[in-house]
Amino acid sequence: MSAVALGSDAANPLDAYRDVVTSTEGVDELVTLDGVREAAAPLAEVIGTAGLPAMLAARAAARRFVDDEGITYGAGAPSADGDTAEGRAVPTEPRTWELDPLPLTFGPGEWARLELGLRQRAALLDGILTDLTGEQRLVRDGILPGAAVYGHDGWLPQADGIRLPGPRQLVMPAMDLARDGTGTWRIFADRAQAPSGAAYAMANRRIIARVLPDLHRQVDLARLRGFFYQVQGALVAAAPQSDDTPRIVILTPGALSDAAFDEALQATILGVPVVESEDLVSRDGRIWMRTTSGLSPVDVIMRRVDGAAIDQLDLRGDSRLGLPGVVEAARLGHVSIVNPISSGVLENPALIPYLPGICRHLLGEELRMPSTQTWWAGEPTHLSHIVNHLSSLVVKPASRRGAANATFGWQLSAQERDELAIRIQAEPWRWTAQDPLTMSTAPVVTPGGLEPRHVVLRTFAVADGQDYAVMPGGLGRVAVSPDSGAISSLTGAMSKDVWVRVDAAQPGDEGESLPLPSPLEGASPSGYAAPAPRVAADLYWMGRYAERAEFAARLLRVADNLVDDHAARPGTTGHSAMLAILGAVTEVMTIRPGFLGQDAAERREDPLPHLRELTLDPRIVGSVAYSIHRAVIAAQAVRETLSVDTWLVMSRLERTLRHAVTGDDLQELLMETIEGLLALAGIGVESLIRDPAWAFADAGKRIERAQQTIRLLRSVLAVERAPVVEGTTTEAVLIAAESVITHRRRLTAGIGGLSPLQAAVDLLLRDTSNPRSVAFQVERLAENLDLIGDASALPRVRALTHWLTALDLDDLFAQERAPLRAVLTGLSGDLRLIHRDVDEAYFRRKAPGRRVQWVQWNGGESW
Amino acid sequence: MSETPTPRNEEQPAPSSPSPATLEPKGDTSTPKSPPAPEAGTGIPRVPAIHPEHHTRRRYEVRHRTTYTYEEYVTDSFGRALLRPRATPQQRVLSHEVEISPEPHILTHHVDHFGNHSSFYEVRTPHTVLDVDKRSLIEIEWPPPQMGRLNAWTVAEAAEAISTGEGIDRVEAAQYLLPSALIDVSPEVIAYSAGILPPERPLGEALVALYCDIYREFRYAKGTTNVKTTLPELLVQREGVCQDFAHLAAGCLRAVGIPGRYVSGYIETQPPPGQVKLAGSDASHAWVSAMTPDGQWVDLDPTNNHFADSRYIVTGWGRDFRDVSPIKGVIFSEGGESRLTVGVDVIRRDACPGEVHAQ
Repeated sequence: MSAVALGSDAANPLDAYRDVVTSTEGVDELVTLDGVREAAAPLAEVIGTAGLPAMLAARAAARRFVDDEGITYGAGAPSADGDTAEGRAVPTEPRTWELDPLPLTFGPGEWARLELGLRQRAALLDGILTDLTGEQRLVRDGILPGAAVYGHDGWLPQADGIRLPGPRQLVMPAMDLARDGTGTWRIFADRAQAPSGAAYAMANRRIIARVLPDLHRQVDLARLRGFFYQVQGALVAAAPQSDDTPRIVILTPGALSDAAFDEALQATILGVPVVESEDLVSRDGRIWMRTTSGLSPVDVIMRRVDGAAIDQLDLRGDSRLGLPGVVEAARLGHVSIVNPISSGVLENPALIPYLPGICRHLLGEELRMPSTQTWWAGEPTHLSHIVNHLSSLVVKPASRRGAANATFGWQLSAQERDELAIRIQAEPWRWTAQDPLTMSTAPVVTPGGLEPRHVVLRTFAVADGQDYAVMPGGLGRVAVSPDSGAISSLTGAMSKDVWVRVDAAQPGDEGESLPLPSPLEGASPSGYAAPAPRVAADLYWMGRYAERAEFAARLLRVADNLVDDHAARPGTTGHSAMLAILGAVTEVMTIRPGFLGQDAAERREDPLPHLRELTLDPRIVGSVAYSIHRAVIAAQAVRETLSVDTWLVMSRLERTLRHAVTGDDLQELLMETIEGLLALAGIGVESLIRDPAWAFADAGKRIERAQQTIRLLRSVLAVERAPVVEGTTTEAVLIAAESVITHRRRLTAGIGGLSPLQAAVDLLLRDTSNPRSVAFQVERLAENLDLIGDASALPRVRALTHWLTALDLDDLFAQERAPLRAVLTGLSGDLRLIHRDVDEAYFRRKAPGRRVQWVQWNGGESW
Repeated sequence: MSETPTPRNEEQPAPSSPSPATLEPKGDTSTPKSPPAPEAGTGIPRVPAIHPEHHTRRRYEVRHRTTYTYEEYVTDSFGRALLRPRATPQQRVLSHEVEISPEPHILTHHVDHFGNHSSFYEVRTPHTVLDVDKRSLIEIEWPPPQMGRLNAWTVAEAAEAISTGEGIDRVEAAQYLLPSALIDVSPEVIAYSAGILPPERPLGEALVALYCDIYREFRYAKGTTNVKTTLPELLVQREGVCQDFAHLAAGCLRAVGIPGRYVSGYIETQPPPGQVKLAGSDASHAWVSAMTPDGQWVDLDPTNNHFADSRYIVTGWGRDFRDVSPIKGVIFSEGGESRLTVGVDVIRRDACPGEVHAQ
């Protein structure tokens, strides 16, 4: 292996890296011409001592942890055949988060200077936002040209005049930084709408702490957790004045959001729910959250949707992400939108050239932190500079809407440059141009050694009283390829943890495990104890799909065993029993033709390939892999309500089946799958609070298990067969239903006047002490509905319990078991009705609003 | 009375130039090949016809009733209404009331970014008919334009003076100069405006040319355009309603560097001779207002071929129609069709005895 050779021969991978880096432009984050950066010295030492193999191991470990925690970025559109009847549409695969094991490291002094600049920047942006959404003195007094502001699509005059309580309007800005050729950090973009990434930074930190545990312990690091407390405090400070603890939600574009993981983790850390617009209701000039037990008021909306999309009445009428009345509720001061609806106006690069002047004007200070050198073509002198230097500039439209992001002048032909110049001159106010940033490099671990990649750093600030607090660190991102300057998580950029070292002499804080000093303390979670209908539905379907997968896996295991023993011996009783169970596989999993009918002769002869498909092929609706995938999707949509352990189990489950290869033993795969599903069930039993949310997940599991058991009984035990065959099939059913041991014990202890077959049916149908019986599921369902506070389906379920107890087994087995079949069919129908009741009572989606036509001038009849 | 029977009243003296022969035929599908306006400096100066009787002080009552009828019950209705007239140097609002039925659960008011009175309502009583009824009593005295003052600048001088930002409200200048959602200052609009608003033309004459040329070259035809019609489309089809003409006029002003805002309101109309004016037969109206280098605004009406006068009642203004849509809404219902009817009455309430006698 070349990697190993490199690691052992070239004892220090840094030497080779330094040779490459020092021959390229820009500074490096780790090495200098003849040594290493002081702040990065401990990291350099670890790399030098441990060598490349250890770094590759760290890289592999980081990937494994990312997988285990299910960290993803980006999401596709729903697949075309996504059936919404059973839960939500299936999105295409999001990308797995990429994390390089080597952190970027800042010394205390360097970071302190950066922090000072970032705090000032945040205060400056806040001042600009306050002015532009209010008096607009900056424009009126000629400090900022109006055309630089009003041409930007983030400027939303409909949201003018809305004010948050508290000293700051811009609550959570982020700034993207990169170094120039001299090593100075410059801000190349301000993110003021709804910046994502703070929770990714936290996730990165937690993983790197486990990947490089010794180094992480040895270096004194500023912790990230405190920043989230500050976020909490800022959200509370922004809430409308009230005696009650404010109720906060994160408004997301949905599970298809690119940064769904970031939203979910942020919600978990802050202890607030993630909602989609359909979970909210606008009423009486206030915003409410729909829950399965009624409306609950919302005080603060931390928005992850664009300002323009948040209200179909006052803003974009075609938005699917907002709700009408939000702007008015905010204007009335009944709800606080964070960041404010208009904050996107600050993302306008045309503001950058005016920032030094505005800073002096508003803050009476010089701008501390430089931006990328930027020109706005609306300023005549800038226009001529841009046109004359197009080949060395990055040209960006001021508004991002509908236009390509950036054009690199040096990549254009002479003709293309002329065309661009004409477009700029025609509408100069639309265009900006920037000097390209050299950017620094940082090493990335690859099998061939350390490779330099360009670095950008997203930093996060949050309003903190009169001032701003800055996250000590941030989200580091590096380019996909060594020569690339384009860095975006969307294009698959890799991320890095960012370490800010603190002075060891100073008393540090108490680490990431600091107890919640809570502005939210005493906030009863009961305010939101009942989940939103969408969340309830996803939990319910997660329960159903997980159970469907488990039942199928158990049945497939039994079938596979019978096939092993009897497939080669047609005509034997064992073979007949095998065929009966294969038929049950088809009927229970309802995947046809399967093993039934004339077309299936070949499959009955050689059942293994089909059994494998039914286990592994996620494209077959109802296969084990399919059901697990659906359970994972439902879980992803409600990720903030689930524990980290759940992710661990779920991602391993999916991996088991996805990575299976032809040679793998089916029994083994099924066993591993069942183990995983048992672990999931264990979390459900041992780790979750018994609240309504849990009750929905458990209700799904109970209805599913009851239905599957009924189907199995109907397919196998409700049909008369030769007694010798029936001995084997009954045992198979009992094994599949995890009840064979109890059955045997009961036979030994005596079963009264019942035949063994009747005893088996009794055990699986009526015995409320058997956690696998239908009656047990029905009883649990009643408990769940009780916990939910249900009144609609509960009477039906209670009636079912009584009816089950009253059944007489001898009657059921008369007339060639026709009564048994009828009872099972009736039961199944009743459960479907109960499902329908629950679905209608709790999972109803809100009807979408329609925009009514505008009254047009000249709507009058006379002209 | 000297009123002509329709709002398209030819008050203007016969077009000074060009001769009708040079006009593009109506419905021509190309942008003008040659500017329809005269060469600057060669034509007869354009002078507006001033009718003193249209500039006297008077009062109007405006009733504006909007009715939505739905096939299915509507359970939630959210709306924004811009119906309350704003005060201007020419008009005083004596009284104003809006009645909504069914009675809204919430009805709030604020003054919006553009200075207009904006109301928000939420109706949760299930209904199949929603009525929004407004009545305003307004006193108006709109003096004639001061042509001498306006002609003191050429178009180019006016644009240059405004661009310095001295003596004007820079916020207004900037936001009414940029293109807006419904006013795309496209190459077609720029070409069209170049003929009407050449740089050397005195501003007053240029504004006369603006309303006069649009009036002559575009046919008034309801139903040929909608809220999504773009200016390039309008320039091709050469027909539309007041809203389209106001958008076009504003686009022309912006194309030459003069801020132009879209004004919405009402105009008093007269029935055809010998007929009685029918209830609900008036109409809401729209026109355009141009900024002058001294920070004032001049209102002109390309639909009716003159400057605004005391018959014009202002509701509000904005960058284009979208900023001043009288009523817009979002409803929640099971579906079905909806129908909209609008009735407007502009009734003269002469409470200024002196002026009545003067006539």
